[in-house]
Amino acid sequence: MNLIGTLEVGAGGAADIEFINIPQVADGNLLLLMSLRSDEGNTREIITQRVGGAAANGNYLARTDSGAISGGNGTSYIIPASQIDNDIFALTKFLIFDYTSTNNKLAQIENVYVEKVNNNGDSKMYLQNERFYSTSAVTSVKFSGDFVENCTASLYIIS
Amino acid sequence: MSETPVKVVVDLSKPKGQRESIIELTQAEIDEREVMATEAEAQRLVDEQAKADAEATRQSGLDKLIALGLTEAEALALVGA
Repeated sequence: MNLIGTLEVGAGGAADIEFINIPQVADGNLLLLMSLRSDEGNTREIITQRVGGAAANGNYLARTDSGAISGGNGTSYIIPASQIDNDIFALTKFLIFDYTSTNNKLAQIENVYVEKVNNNGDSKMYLQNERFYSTSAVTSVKFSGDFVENCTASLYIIS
Repeated sequence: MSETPVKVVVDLSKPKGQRESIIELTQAEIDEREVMATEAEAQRLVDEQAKADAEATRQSGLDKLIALGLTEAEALALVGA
C-alpha cells in the first residue's frame, strides 16, 4: 500500500477537495482516507462526490445503500456540520476496486461519526456501495461541500 | 469559508512539494456544485421516504400476523427481527 498524496484544508476552508492526475497502476485499488467536517449552519451537510475518468468529468454512478438504487453524475453522503460539537469529524474510507480497469468499476464508502451536540449523542454510520458505469480509468476524485480547516485526505494505491 | 469559494487541488503528476494548489471556483463549477447538491438532497429525501414506507409495510404485516393469533415473537421470526 503506497501513500501517493495527502491534502489538508487550510484557514478559510474549502468548497471542493480534489486529487487529479492519479498515477495509473494496473490491477491497483484506490483507497482514500478522509477526516471531514462542514461549516454549514446545520447538524449535517450532504456532500457530493465525483469520480472522473480520462474522457469524462463525471461518470454515472449507482448507489445501493438500503437497497435503493439511484444514479446521476455523482453520489453523496453526510458529514457533521457546525451544530455538532467542534471536535467531531467524519472518518471516511473510500475504496475503488481495480480503478484502471476498462470495465465498470465497484466502489465502497464507509463513513462514520458521532452526532454529538453538547457532549451528548449517538454515533452515525453510513455504508454505501457503488458501481461506476464508466469504462474509463479513474484519474481524479473530487468531493464538494463546505469543508472546514484541518479536514484531511490521504490517497493510497493498493496493488 | 472565504467569500469566493475555493478548491484544494492535489495534482499527483507534479513533484512533491508542488502538488497542492488553492484555486478559486469558476462560475461553471459553482453552478455544478449547486446542481449536484440539489440532486443529492432530492435523492436523500427519496431514500428516506423509501425507508419509511418499507418500515410501515413491515409493521402493517406484523400487525396482521399478530391479529391472526401469532405471538409477536412468532411473527418476528417469520418476517425477521
